[in-house]
Amino acid sequence: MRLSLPLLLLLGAWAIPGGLGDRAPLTATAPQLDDEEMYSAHMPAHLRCDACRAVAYQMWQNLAKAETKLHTPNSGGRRELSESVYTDVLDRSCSRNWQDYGVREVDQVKRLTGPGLSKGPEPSISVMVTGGPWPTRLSRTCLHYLGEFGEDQIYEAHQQGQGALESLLCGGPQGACSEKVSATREEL
Amino acid sequence: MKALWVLGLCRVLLTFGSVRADDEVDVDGTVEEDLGKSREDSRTDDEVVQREEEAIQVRKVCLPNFPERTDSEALDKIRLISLTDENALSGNEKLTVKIKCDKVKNLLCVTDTGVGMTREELVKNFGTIATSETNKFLNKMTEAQEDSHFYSTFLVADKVIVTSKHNNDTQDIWESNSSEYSVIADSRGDILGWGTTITLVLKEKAFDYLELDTIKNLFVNLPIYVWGSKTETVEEPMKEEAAAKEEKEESYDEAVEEEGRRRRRGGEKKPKTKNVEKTVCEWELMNDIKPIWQRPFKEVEDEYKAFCKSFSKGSDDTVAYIHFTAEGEVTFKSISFVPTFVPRGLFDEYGSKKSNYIKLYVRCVFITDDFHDMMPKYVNFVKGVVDSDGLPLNVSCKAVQQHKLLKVIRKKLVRKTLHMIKIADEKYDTFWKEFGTNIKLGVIEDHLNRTRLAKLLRFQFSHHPTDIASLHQYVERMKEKQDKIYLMADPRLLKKGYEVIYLTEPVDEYCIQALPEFDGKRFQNVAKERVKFDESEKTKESHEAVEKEFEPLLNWMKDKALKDKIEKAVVSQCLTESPCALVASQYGWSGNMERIMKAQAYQTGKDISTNYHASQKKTFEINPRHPLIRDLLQRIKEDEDDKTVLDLAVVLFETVMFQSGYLLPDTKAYGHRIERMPRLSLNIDPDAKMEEPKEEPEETTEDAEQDEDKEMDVGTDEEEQETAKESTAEKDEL
Repeated sequence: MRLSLPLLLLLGAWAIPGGLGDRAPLTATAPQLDDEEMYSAHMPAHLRCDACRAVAYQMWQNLAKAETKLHTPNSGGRRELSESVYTDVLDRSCSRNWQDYGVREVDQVKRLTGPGLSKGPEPSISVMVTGGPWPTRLSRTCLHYLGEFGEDQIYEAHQQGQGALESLLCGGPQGACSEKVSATREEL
Repeated sequence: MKALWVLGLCRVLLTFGSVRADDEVDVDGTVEEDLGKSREDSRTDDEVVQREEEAIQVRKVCLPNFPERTDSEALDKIRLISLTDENALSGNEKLTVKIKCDKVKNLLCVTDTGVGMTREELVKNFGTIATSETNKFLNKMTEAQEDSHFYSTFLVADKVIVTSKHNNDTQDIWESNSSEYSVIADSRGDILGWGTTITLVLKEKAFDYLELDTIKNLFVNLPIYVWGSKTETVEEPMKEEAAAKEEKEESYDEAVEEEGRRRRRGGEKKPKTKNVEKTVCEWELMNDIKPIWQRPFKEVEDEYKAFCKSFSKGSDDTVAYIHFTAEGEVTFKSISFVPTFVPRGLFDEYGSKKSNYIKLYVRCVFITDDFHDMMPKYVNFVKGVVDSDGLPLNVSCKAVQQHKLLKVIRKKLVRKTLHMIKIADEKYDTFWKEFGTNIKLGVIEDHLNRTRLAKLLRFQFSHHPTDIASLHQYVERMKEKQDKIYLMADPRLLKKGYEVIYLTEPVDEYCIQALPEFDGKRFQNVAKERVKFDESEKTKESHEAVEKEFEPLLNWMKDKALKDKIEKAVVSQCLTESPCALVASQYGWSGNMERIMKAQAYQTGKDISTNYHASQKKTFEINPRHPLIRDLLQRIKEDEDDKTVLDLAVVLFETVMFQSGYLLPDTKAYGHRIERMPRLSLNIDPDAKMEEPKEEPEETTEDAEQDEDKEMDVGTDEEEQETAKESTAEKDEL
């Protein structure tokens, strides 16, 4: 009996590939938020890139949705929204709920997470903290970019593609996702 | 209300005024046709717009119909439609409209100096309509589903009388009480000269329209004179009374025929007069807001001042104004301006009161100034006009506000306003003095325009305490490696040559907190979480040694004396003269902020952040060089539970809390404690000398207390001076 047990186990492991691996315990912990992340009125600097990308994603998605609702594409076959419509859409993009975004810690790095933000392989399980100050911060970030660039410029970039919109808002030398930002993080 | 008839009237008058000019008399068929249609279809926007474009046609007498829900909606639409006709007539300068109200007989008379109608025309235009159709119309009236503009007059009037004089005919009267009509020759003969008068015998519910104010700002394109009567005390010589009266009558005619806009007041001062109560009647020009915004910029350069003055009905000058045309999906022209002085009651019921400084026009027809948030709250002082061509016709006043196009207009207007303020240049200081608070509120409230508003902020800085400067100027003057903007005063900072922003007003700190950064640089309030300077190894070591030395005291304070009152106690690096100081955490509230937040009367809900902030405990800093502190250290080493010493610690803590601007939780207890001190100190040996600051104290308990009293009064640090000043300022304000 004793001898056959390890044999059985081995067989079991073989028979069901990855069987043992599946039963390894999975753990995830809630991110430990520091003072700034918990109580500051503004989006912490190291999360601004993520926030910007989330905003760009939401804007793109809402504009695209509105465009598909248009009944008549213009002569070029492209659907173009009128000024009042895209202004309204962008306004509503910023005043949305944002409850589906939150913070989690992956490999000891805190990242914002939510629709449009997944990059690379996802951990099997993770704990995400939502609500609290995050919706307000995201909303303000969105309004900040809207005010900074203006509806016209944003829509123009959108028409060139999702990537163009993201690079308009977040890229560039002063953008939230530029190299300089990661340097600041080290400092902090 | 049911004021659509006014416009209906005007339309009729003007339309018929243009009949001859256009040589088109094609009213009959169209009237019936449209009436018929009006009862069946509901028109769409497109159709309406198209009709608009046929403005010059007399066919426009008939109103295309829209599904109406309220009379006010009808009013708005009619306003717009009627305008299209006026455009055709704008060339005709002699055209004036006079309105006369007779409150006694409840009559409203509208007269124009148009071409008038012949008897035949009267019958044609009004006769056909006033048949059995009238009854049908009347039945439908209650459903308020359709309206034909002229017949809408019956909504407000019991009887309508149209008197018209055309060159080729005698003066005739068409009269109707909605169920029948008659056309008769006017026995009074030709009194009109030429033109048409429509008289309405108003229904009771429409008596409002007898008030001059109600019909005031409706039109701007044509001069409308209203026969107004005023009772004035006039000085008049007795004998010359008759002559004076005549003179006045003549001058009235002049005013009517002149193109001038002078208001004539009754009564001229003459020598040897007596005071006579006179009822003076005259034609008064009601609409003196000229639509200069429609004209090209260069043409009207000199007229802006007059325009702004007439707008605000006062002698208010302007700090800045802007006249622009915005293109896009909806084109609009606007003139807006900033008055020199703050209007009274600007902050009364801030945000809830509707400001009526922005008037919306569509093609020079006034629509409304009753907006809830045409402009964001913080710019509620801006006055102006917005005239749009493109707002669709089937919008009511209420719907207009939510309309997407209006959102676009609003955004552009705000941006242009901020731009106008930005380029005010020489007058900016004047502007800031009056409206600075508004800009600060804007930074707090308007996340969309925050960056723009931040550039408009002005503060006092340590390097130039008498001037105000912008954040941009501060950043330019910053030291090379400085990457933070410092607020409040830290003597070390100033010693090292860093410039600091002084936040002198309660709203300043709140405002700065709303900014995440400026120009890529973050703010650091040195009243919270001290600035960390690069320290040499030596300094670090000596500091650590001091900390070790005072560890018992620090622990005692945290665990015993000031338990639950402070987060922790630390040795301070920057206190020079005070025994101690209180520092908030970086994300907590400073004393100033706490005071403001607690004073928010309307804050009912205790949200998480408020609770957090309110319960945040502060860090207690002690000055290791202060004799009082050194003495304390000694005493607790001897006896940890000495009551007097415990008391002393609490008094120190509460005093410094007070000085830092925080609110004391229990002022009564504090008072008692303070009282004890002088009592005890009176037992001091009167010969006891004042202690030398640097020496180790050898005196008794009483001496220590006396010293403490003196220290508390005298010892003030620069930073505490600042906060003390602020707290007094706050106290005064509160």
